[in-house]
Amino acid sequence: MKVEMKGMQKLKGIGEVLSRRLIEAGHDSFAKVAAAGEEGLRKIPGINPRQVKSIVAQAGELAKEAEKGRAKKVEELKQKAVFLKGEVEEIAHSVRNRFQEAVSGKAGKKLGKELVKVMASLDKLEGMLERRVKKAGKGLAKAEKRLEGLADSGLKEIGTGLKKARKSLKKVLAK
Amino acid sequence: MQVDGTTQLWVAARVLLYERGDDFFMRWDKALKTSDPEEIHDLRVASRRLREGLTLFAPCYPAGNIARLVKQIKLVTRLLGEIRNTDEAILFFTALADELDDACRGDLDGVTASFRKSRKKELKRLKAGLRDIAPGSLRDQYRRVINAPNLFVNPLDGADLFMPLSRFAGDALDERLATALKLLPVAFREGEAEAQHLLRIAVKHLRYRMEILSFLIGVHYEELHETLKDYQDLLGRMHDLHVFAGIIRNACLPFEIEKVVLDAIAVKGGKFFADFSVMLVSTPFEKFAEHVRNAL
Repeated sequence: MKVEMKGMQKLKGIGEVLSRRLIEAGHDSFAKVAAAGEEGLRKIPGINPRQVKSIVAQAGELAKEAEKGRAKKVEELKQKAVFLKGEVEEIAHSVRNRFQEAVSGKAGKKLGKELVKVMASLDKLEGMLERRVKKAGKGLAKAEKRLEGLADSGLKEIGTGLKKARKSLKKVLAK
Repeated sequence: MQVDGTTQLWVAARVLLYERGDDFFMRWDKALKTSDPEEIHDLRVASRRLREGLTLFAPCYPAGNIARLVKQIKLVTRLLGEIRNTDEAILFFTALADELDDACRGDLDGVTASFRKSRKKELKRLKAGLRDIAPGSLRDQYRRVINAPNLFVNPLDGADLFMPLSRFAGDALDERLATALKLLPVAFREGEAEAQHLLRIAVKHLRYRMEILSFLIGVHYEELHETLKDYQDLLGRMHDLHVFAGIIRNACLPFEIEKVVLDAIAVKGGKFFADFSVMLVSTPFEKFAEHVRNAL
């Protein structure tokens, strides 16, 4: 709540008390404040009726900006997901080239499944980026860290790294 | 996920098969709900397309797993086939009855009526059959299989799963084109119904394969697809006439009525074959094959 309150205080005419009241009334984003309109805001106790018009206008502007920023972020995250898929492909390729004998049996099957699972998680995550921008950003950053340098690692490290990367992504996908 | 020609085969196979599977199971639900002839037809086509997809990417997976899946999906195609054939027969004989004189109309109406009657039974059988196969478990099995490619198999023992999709696609389309081209010289002769039927099947497989890989073919895809569809439609109508003639021969119609109807079917067959001959000259299949190869 504190984070949202801080955000609301970007509006001229909204301080600590009013930001709390706005959020309690369900207007917890600039878009919602703009949608509530002048009539909706006048119902908030303590709000200055002369500032209502300006607050709605400010909220509208900030909501637009936030939407633009969000779209940009989603695009960036999409690019990151694509990049990570490329990394997974590279890891798989490197395993095939460096450990051909070792991965021809059961171990290879297990590792293959793990590679596919990471790929599947990235696919799923790509599909829900718009709804989970913050979580996805964190998950992708963690996964990137886990996958970093794996293409040159040993088989065991690769297996562990893939599992950890998948776990980071799983947290984003969890309901 | 976006797949293009540079995507590694193992990644592309999974994504493209997921798309096919989603389409098939979505249509399955729809067909079960509505029993509409068009929905049933669409499900049948989706099942064929899915089988072609599985055959196309079979080198990426353990052979037994793919074979089991194809067998299960084939069951669905077969289940749907009976009712689809009945729907086609109803449409054809209703139209034919309008074209022929009153003497034939009564008998043809009888043939149509018997198909309408059997359609109800077939629909019941189809619904029960589709439920028996249990789409839920087939869907799970499908996902399990396509999520387990033979990733690290020695390329000497199977396909190299790390090759770019475009290279694999080129060979895969070539394989289907070669089958069709081989059948062409015999199918070109009027009496060779069997060869024409085989060509129809080869063209159908090629079409589904092209549809799965359409995004690699580029701007000429629509045009090439249209040509292939025209071939398939015409060959399909030619084949249907043979089936309908067989139905009339077994319908125990009075001799003179049977003759009139069979003659009418033969006239249609002659016209279709003439169209086929024209098509082979105006849009030669060999040229079409060359265009497909160049478009990739």
